[in-house]
Amino acid sequence: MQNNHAYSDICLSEQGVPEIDIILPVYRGLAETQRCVESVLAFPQQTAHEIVVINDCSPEPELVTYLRKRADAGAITLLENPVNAGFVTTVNRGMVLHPERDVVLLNSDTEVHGNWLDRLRRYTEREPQVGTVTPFSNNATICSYPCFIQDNPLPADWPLAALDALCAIVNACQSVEIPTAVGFCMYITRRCLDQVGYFDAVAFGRGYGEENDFSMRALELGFRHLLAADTFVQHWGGVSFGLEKIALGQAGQTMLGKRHGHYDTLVGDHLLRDPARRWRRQLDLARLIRSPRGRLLWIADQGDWELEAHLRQLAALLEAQCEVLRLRIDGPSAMLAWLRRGEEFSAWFPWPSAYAELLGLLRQLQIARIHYHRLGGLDELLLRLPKDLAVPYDCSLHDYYPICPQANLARADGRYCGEPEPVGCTACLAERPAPWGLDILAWRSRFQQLLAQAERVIAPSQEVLTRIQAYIPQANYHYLPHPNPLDNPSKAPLCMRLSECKVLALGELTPAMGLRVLEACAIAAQAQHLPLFFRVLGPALAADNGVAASALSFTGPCALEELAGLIARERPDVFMFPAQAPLAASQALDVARRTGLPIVATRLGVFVERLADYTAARLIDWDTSPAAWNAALLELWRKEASRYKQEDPCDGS
Amino acid sequence: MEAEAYLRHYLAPFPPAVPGEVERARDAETTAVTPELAASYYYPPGPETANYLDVLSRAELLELLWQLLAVEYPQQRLTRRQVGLYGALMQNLKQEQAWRCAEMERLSVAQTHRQEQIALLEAEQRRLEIQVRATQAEAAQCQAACDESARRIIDLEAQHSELQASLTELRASTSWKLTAPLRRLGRSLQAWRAPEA
Repeated sequence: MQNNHAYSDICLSEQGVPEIDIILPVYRGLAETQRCVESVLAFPQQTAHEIVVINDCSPEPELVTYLRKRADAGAITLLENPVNAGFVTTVNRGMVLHPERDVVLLNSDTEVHGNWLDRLRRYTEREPQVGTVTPFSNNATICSYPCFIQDNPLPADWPLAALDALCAIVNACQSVEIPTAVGFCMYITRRCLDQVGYFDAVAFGRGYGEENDFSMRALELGFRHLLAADTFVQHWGGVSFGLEKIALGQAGQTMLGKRHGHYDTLVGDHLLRDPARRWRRQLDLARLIRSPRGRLLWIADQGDWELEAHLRQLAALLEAQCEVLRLRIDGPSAMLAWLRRGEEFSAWFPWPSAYAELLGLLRQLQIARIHYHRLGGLDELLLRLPKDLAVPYDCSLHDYYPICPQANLARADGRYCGEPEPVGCTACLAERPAPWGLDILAWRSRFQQLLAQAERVIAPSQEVLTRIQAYIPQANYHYLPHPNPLDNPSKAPLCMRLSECKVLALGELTPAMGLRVLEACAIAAQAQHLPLFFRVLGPALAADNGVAASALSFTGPCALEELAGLIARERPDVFMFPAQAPLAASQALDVARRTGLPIVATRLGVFVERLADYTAARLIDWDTSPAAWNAALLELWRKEASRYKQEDPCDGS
Repeated sequence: MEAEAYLRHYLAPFPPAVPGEVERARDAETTAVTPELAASYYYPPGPETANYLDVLSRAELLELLWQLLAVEYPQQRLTRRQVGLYGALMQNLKQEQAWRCAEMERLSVAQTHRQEQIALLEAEQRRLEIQVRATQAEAAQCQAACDESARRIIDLEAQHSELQASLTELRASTSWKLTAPLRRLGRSLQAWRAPEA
């Protein structure tokens, strides 16, 4: 502390007249203010400067005492408002104090590092039209990092000092033009202040929007606003305003809209172009390459909701051990994304022309292992990656793609094909050809090669393992069921209706997942006046199925992670899994199992093994008639309802 | 399967993490070379977000001018007056652009009108062509009838001449002349009987 004071004295005495005032308006938050002031004092700058703290009549005596103590020691210049004048007036007071100096407005809930001030100043010296400079921060709307326009926590393992030092190296002297400065840390040149004037304290008295108004006025006079991509200032956010922030923000936006009609257009255009993105991504890459964790590359095209949920869950589980990158073909590009939560990194490589560049990046990132997650839709070129990178690889069997190019052993109508001889498969492929122009034997041989050379072939169920092993025996199969969801298992409130039965189906019901069966059951139940009605927790893939909404309705799309909560709200009586083709895994079934409610499913695929030890389950043949389905549903429901009635005679209908 | 057990199995072939490695890697490798990609790779492919003049702020326009001047006149420094002049020039250009847009609009409307007229005329032309074809067919029919009549007239005239010749020949014959008194007597007798009848 004493050293800091000594440095400040040097700053004022040996470097001559200060050229910059660092203005810190203070109202609340001792700890935040201390952290901010001490961080400013801690780092020597080449530019002579003066720290002007303005106490806007703080209600916190400890804070006032601290500031006065630092002022008495000569570390800061302290101005005190006799009454609470509001943020904008306080800032203006600081800016008029020395009318020849540039100013830096620094919120009291920020923290700076290194030669931050020198770096910001460099941009104003380079070009006379620069009016303001704003650094990157974790919470600074269009200057936010790692995620754009978000209030981010600092990236894991990257404290401010490390992150700012990295910025200074990776993005040295790089800036982008922004439509407006952001007020948490804003360098304003005196030239700009002289021509534009000060903040409008009448219109924006309490804060929020005043810096945007100032920026717009400066733009009109030809000044430019820059984002300094080589400086990072931490912003803890919302200390002085607390919950008032939202209301103040809205009022500021309204005023801005009235004054500067083109403000939204300018900002909208900036958001669309996002010129700072490349510098954020450069930082991401720099952090990735410095990560000590093993790099794992997942290759998976966009999958169904279960696969996407599994990938999200697994990526979250692996965060402590691995940096997981996902590669998928996205139209004309191969998209590489970093799957760590709170990270935004993604890059699009023109495909397949930029394969060499992709390979170069993956080599630089030292990818240690590849995991093929979704083989469906896989680009053949991606099969070369393990060899080109010289790394081992795993394959997951989320479907039957290695033995069936249709992925689910289903005919065109979505029903189980019964795994015919190759002649039958050839007829199927004549109707719906396999990718890469292969016949069924060449197809299986291609995947046999892929699976045989994999270090592990991970099967989430015995069912898929057995079925694929029958065709491709030479592979190192590992049975590894999907992990249980991270949330606490919530048991759906058991409130059996005794007058009618609500049947719930889960997920994106395609014909192969039993959509037609469900529709037929609903029609039959309605025609026979059965006490059954059907509901699907998932999107309606059939627009006009001719079934009354009272008999069959859909909730709309939902994520697997929220399924347990949604089931609890739906309060179903029976679950129905009418899949018409075998499934390799079903996390939705696992969620349903955890409710303890009765389940009726087809005797096909993973259902057989997952429901073998589930007492309230009924397995029926996949080609059973709708009437038989309804009978099974009613029978199981009545059985469970009578048992429930014996246990708890409360009528929940 | 419990998440921890899954993770244990999944990570089995991975090398174990070394404690403290995070800090070491972060702090010791500050000079590590960061991969550099083409800037365009950081942006999703899609329609080009090109900077048209009309979406540029004045500051961006001035920046453009600066770049132009830097290329055209690298030694020249821009004065405030020049900035004003170029600003005014840019304003004029924007006005001209607006005028050209309006003119384009007007021409576009005129073109649409003309195209509609052309479409109407083409329809009329088609109708007339159909009518002409019908008339031509009718005319051809009439011509055929006409030719037929002419042929018939020629036939009848030939027949008539033949009959005329036969008649003349008959009247010039001796038998006709010898029987002339008989025909006269016959006509007289008819005349004589006629009043009674």
